[in-house]
Amino acid sequence: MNMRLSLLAVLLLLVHYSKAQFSGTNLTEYQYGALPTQTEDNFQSVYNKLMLNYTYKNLKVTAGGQMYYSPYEDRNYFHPSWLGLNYIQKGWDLKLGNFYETLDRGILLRSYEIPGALLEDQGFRSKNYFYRDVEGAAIRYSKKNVTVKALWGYSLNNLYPPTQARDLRRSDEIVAFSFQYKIAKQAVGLSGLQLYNSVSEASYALGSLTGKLTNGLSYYSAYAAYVGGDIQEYSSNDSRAIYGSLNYSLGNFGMSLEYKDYKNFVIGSGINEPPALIKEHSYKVLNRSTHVLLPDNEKGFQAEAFYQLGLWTVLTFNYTMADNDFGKKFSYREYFLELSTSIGQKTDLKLFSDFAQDPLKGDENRISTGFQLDQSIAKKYGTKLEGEYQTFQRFGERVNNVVAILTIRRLSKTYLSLISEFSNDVFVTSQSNKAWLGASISHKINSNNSVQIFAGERRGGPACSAGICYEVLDFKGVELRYQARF
Amino acid sequence: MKLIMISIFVLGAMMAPAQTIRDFSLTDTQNETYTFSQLKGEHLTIIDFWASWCKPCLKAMPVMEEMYLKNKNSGVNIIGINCDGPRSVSKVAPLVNALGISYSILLDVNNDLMKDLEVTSLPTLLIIDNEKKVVYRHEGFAKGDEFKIQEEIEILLTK
Repeated sequence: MNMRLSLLAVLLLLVHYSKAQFSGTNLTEYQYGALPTQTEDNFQSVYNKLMLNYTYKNLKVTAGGQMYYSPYEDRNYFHPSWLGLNYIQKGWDLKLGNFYETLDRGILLRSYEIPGALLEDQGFRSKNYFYRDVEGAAIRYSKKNVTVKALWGYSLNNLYPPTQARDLRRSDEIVAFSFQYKIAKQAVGLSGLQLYNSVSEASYALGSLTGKLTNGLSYYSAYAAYVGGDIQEYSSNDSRAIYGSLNYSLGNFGMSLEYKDYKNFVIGSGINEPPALIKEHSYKVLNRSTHVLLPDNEKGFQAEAFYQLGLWTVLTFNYTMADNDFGKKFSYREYFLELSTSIGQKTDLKLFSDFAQDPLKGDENRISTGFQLDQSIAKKYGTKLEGEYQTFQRFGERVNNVVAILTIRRLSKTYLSLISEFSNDVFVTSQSNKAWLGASISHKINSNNSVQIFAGERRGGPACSAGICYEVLDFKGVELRYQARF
Repeated sequence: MKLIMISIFVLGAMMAPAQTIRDFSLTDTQNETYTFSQLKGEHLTIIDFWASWCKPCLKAMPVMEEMYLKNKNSGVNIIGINCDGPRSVSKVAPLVNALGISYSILLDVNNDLMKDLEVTSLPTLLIIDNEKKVVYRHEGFAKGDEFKIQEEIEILLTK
């Protein structure tokens, strides 16, 4: 025992004097409640994620795990999910273990982590952190005009929680490289990805061209295709992705135009995520009714324009079109307009209007509108009132959704919110009119610790965050979240 | 042995000095690569993590621009780290220009820097001193926060 303590003391002194650094984060979520859409009793559950980092000069080692406990044995687990090493040195970037990598705007590979988001699936009903990483090795080298990347590893399929076998969760083995060469203000890129899994072997290649044409005009274009393997039904023309964007700005005006044409372009279990070209809304009614990209068959276009009218005033317009052809053609159209402004020194106002046609979901003439009114009271306090209304016709039925939220805040440290939603959508409620009522308090204890409590009923549905769309389950009960950094 | 390892991590964390920043390199909207060393301020560097879909971030950015103009002659530089993924990264350049932002904006499409500095919410603002230590962290943005941040800059400049 004395030997162990001495060893510990020596190690701590070494750590302290070598200026190596330990740090970490922890997320705990406790819930007492149930899915209101299921016939189940209220139960308690705890999810915890702990990440520990060791940094010494240019080296960083990360280790972490997650656990979930509930009264249901088959949902519970303790899983060491992350172990990684990263070394950066003068243009070199080496990653071993668990790492994240995106190739060519996600067309060939997209791995991600949605900070603070937990994934709970209707089928498994376990809960796990929302991320998709690669387990293997990656190396990148950049110097002046050249960037080269190479990687090998097993990509995570996050549809399976840690209760499932590793072979199922990491069924896609990938080997990839990427090369970019800059000439003046233009860059040419070439990437390749080889996929192996129990179903198929497939090779994909991508060429890209990006650059600046004038001071305010830049572009990105890419063409990717299946170039070989044992997927018999594909030739390179049957499985491809075309993406292009043009960005323009002049004075206080800015605009981005994007084009997509994807055909049979889901790689493996979905390790790639080509740009969706659908606006990601922060407004609840719009975020929930978003069109989710179908890379198997989708063509489309997105235009977004901004105009900064003053320090606090921005006008945003977005037009989105996405066509899916499954024998029958479905054309998604959306027009969005938002004004964000200030009235005097203490009042912020946001107004939005949106019109959409979504035949794939059966939504006709979907009109959404709303406001956010933020009023500062004295120097430290403020209130925010949010109201959103959405109406559309689905299979002859009129559907209405309403959201009303009142928030009182103290600086950006403490928020108290009363959240209410109403709907008569038969897809989400068997009642003619259903209300969801809840309250939340969030408080940042200091810059390293924050706590959040929710009580009531929360409406679920599709949600998009940081470009990734997923399904959030309904919840009725009490939830406590604690996040710490140390 | 496991107990020792855990104890080392926990006690190490308690003894740890302020978090330090590694010399990262990222590209800007024009595909030019910059390192932290190239962009850091003489005395302080403010790193502002933001994304085009984050409304409080966009509200904070004109304030950050004002703060940049006010403090740049005092050896304070601001680096905006955009965390948009592939879905929305094409909107970054026109948005930055339309908002009239003149401080450097770098793209962290992979969110590597975000993870490296344990940023879990947007916007997050970090102040780095000239020893590369993170000496201040502020999450979220509401009107009035700019006074607190400016106060912190002035305190740190006198140290």
